[in-house]
Amino acid sequence: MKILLKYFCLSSITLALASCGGDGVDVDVEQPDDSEIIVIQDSELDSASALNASINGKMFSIPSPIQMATMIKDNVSSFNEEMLTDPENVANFTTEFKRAINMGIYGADLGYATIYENNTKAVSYLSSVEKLSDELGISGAFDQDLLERFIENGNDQDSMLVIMSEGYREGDRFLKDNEEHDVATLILTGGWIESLYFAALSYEETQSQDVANRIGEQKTALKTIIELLNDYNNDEYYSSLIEDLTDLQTDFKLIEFNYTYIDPIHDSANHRTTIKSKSSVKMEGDVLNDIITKIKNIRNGLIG
Amino acid sequence: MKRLVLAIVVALSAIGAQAQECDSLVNVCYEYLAPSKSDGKVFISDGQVYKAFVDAEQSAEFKVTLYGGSLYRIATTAGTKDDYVIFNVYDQERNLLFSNADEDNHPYWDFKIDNTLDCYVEAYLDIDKKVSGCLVVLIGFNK
Repeated sequence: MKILLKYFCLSSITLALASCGGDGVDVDVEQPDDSEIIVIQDSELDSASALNASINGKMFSIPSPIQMATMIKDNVSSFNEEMLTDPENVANFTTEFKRAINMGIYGADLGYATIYENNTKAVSYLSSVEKLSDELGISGAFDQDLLERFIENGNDQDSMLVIMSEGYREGDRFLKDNEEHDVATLILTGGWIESLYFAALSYEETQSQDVANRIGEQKTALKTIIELLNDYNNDEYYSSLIEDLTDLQTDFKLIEFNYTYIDPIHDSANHRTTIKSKSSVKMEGDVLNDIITKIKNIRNGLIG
Repeated sequence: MKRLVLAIVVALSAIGAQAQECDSLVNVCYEYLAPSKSDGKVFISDGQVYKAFVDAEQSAEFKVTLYGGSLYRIATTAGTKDDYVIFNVYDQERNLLFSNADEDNHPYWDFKIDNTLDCYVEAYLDIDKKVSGCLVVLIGFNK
């Protein structure tokens, strides 16, 4: 009988890029049969059983803002600077909460600018991320060397994205190693909110079904983020944000997902499997509009 | 008292060694996302590193949303050889979508996703090859 390390290590930082603090393992659940596995699907993300584990926490996955930005570029060809925050606002962020949340938001902006090949803007955001990282006491992540390599690879978008992700990964590693999971969670949350904000504005501009679907598909990520924030809300610093996200979740709960399994196709020669299963998202227009309104309000409240 | 101090020192040393092992394996695993390990494709990390110190009979699992129209790579490592880790990918209904055990424990595999779905990735050591140690899983997407 195999023991399930249910909550591996929470590693996170989206944009990221993250890395887990490592040693985060909670050996606690047996997996005797399928019915229990089904229970895990619901309970694994239950806050009561999650990060209060003696070690680091649960494993989860939050979609990368880079991936969201890539999808948006497929639907909106032009760079929209008005969608982004002001990289010069760093001095306005005087609390750990604001610094960490906005480090995530800047990371998403950095990814967006990089995807749209606006290198000047990207460097501005990276510089701001470096400052916030320094103010948060994160060492070994965003330094002058990383900034220089980012600039030197200005003609190679893939390299820029890898370098950027390297910074966030090292940052996350530092935070986890130093038991600063709350800061890591806030960075992750900021990146996710900003990328959803991109999607919201892009949908308003294009009415693209692809973008609408991608917004609806954030239901799982939102659930995970709320649970993570609750896990680290001992001092109730995040209560207001949790409340806003929980309100947003009421709309996401109205979204209907359908899934049909289809046998995948394996290609051993190329080490590739094509997942053919069908899925669909069904959401009323009013629900989408409510989600867009709420995410805009949440995001704009965080960058001030 | 001396015994207590010695026990603490030994315990801390063990924890430090585990963390160090995990950190070095993360760097090894990242190589599987780099172009040199593939057909020139670059896989950008999803931003998360999944790692755990496991013994025989233990596994680690996490849930991930894979988006339609994307190409992902799941990479694993647990040491100096490529085939220490077995990983399985299930859909939300627990249908097995892939197991690298059917592919000689190949350390990484690509997944072309037609439609968005929630998956579970389960990873554990192949006890015929390694019985305990740090296990690392990474997911990257091809832009």
